[in-house]
Amino acid sequence: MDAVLLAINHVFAPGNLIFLVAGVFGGVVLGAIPGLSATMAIALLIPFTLTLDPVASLLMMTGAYKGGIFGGSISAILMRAPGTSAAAATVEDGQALAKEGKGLKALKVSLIASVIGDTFSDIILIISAVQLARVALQFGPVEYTALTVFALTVVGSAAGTSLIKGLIAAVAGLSLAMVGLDPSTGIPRLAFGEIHLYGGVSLIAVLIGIMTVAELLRQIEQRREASRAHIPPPRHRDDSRITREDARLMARPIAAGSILGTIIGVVPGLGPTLGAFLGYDTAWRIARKPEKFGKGSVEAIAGAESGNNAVSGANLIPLLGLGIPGDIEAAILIGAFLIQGLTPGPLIFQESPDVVYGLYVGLLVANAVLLVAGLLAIRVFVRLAGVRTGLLFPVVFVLAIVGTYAFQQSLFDVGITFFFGVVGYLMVKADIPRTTFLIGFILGPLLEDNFRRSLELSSGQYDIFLSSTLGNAFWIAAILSAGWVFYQRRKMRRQASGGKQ
Amino acid sequence: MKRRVALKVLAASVMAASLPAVGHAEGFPDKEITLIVNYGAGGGTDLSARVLAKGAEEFLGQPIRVVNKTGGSGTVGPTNIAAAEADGYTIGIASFSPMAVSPHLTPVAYSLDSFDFILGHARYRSGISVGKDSPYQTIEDFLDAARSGQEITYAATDTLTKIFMAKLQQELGADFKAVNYKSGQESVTATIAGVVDFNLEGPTNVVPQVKSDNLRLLASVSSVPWFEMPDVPTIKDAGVDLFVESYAGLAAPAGVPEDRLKVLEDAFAQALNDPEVQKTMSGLGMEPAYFSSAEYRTLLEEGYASMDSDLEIIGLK
Repeated sequence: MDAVLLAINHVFAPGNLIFLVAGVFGGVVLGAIPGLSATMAIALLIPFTLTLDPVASLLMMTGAYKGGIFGGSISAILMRAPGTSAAAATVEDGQALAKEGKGLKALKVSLIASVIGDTFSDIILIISAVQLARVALQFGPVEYTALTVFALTVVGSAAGTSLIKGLIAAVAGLSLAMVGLDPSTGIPRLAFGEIHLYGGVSLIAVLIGIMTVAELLRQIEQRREASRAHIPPPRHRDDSRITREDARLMARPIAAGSILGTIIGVVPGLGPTLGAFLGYDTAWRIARKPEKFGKGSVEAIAGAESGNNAVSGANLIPLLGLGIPGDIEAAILIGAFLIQGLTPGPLIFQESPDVVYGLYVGLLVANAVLLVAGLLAIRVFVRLAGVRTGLLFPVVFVLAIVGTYAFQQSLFDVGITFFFGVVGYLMVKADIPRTTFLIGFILGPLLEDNFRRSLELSSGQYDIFLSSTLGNAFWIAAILSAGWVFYQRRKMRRQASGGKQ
Repeated sequence: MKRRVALKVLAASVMAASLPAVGHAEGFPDKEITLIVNYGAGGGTDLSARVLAKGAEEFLGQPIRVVNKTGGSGTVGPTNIAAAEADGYTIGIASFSPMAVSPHLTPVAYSLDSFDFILGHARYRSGISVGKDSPYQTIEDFLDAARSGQEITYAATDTLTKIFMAKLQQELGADFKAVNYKSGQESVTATIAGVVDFNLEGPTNVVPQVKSDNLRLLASVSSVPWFEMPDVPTIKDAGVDLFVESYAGLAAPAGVPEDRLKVLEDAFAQALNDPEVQKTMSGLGMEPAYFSSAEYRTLLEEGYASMDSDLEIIGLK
């Protein structure tokens, strides 16, 4: 108990609290600006870790991470320009609500879902980091392969009106992920001699192109609207707040998103984007109003947003419990541990419990700070989105290009962004969903690496894929999930045609 | 009218930009220096470069800005260094792999002649480590099992260690099976989980896991034992005359004036001598190791030359 009290003292020491608050606010703002992202916020903070006290630097980084993931949704909802890939699942429903003048409602739903998801996964981290970390070791190449195939079935809910088009986009995304060095020989593949493609196509550049730039191209078409406000003002008081009915709709998806996000976070290498899409998908499956999905569903936003934020606390579970990072952000935290002379992994509980408890208390405080920072930020950003489009979108365009360049200081990435801007625009015109393209692109490397690893282990024998109980469970889940997609879609079609008669 | 003014301004600025930069050898450096790191922010190479840069700032009297140019197995960074202006204000990490190995496998826009080397500053080490439940208690157990010809799987993350394993396989008559992973972290995780029998990662990833009792280090496969665990032998001590090593160093584009290179070499060498810098680098799992500009070039040239036959062994040439 003393350790906890000490930690509380430590976190609330003005020096530390400032870094925590600055991290959260900085994360929200950077995340909300199209083109800048949570990963970038953390990368910007790395130099600080060379000199800061370990607790302060860890708090600032995790604060920025949480803030960044939520911030990404602000621009997703208001401008259809997700600040992070984790916010891509929120775009359609958020924007649909904003266009009805319910932008503030959508943002509040997103904020509440984010904070609850964060808090839930932090609590799981605090009560069971060391025990749950062993789960990460249950995942070998076979289990990852099966899990990724299962995760790909979320295409079913994210595909929108046409399943075929959704699948086409997903396969295109998977194919794009194959550009780069071959994972086993290290020889370039599909790179056409272009050195900048050896490392694969940058996710940030593709994301900004296919979502933000494509949206800007669409805006150019609507010349007459240039003088009109981008999003209309609310028509009714209820448009700007969470009503009792909304709260009732949100409860189930938030619970599901929080649990799923936490599970995703415990398994290394999956990340918040998958958390968001699985949260969205599950929300669709258990929805009270599945027909609203993609057209302004509160349930969709709640599921996706609790899903991505719940990953952030849980991916510290393998970090503290085993010394294995859950994703890129956690890997950067490992660097911060090492440079401070700490041993990432369970030893840290003995080496410096003050750091662990400081981190625990700090995470919970950061959630409260996120709530406040979020409420302040959404008011400002809603105001900004009310600016007439002729002024707003040129600014967004500049930010998107600067952000793309700044991420890796690569002009090549800016070219990628323009290219995918046009691709995204054509996809919108052809009514091909961009989200399933992104799902394929993000899951591609995970699927390929583990598929090939499995075969390397078995010397090419395919029966290895059925050799694990956990793997088999995922195969069955994938089959059931795919079947459910067909069932649900047929039911909705029948209802739709029944409604017309 | 407005347009014409704009054109004039544009013309003037283009002319200004094309004027040759005047070098003040004695005043070098008189502005910020950019240091390009070829791996991602937050990793061992990146953090040690940042620590070293911070130390060198003191001796140079100018700030050093660290920029990460990642991708292409570390070849994008050197490509950018080679293409930069040779005024000494753009330098960067030129580690062993992208200098000596990658040019054999992938078309790159540089050769060793594209660079002036400043110094070598660190050694990357590797070792054979196994999971805590592994039957191999010592390096001898491991070598006996390998000589018996039974299949042993390992997590492979880079070409250099694959070449080493191919040589070891020939030497022992062993049957090693490579399973490819993308990062040291992943390959260590796979070893702990029992997916593979062992890995060849370095101290950054392995030492914390040995301390936490998840892994057991059987032997260093570098030319030196790991200073973190001086009691663990090298594989040479166990009677196998092989080792694998890689290095990190700094380079500038070829053609930087002699005196400027000297200023840089001195500043970074002095920074590397600083006990604080050494301590932080060691904590990150990098062994501080000084090679002069000429020594580092020789190291890379020899490595490059031997790679032709080495790559043949693993069927990549």
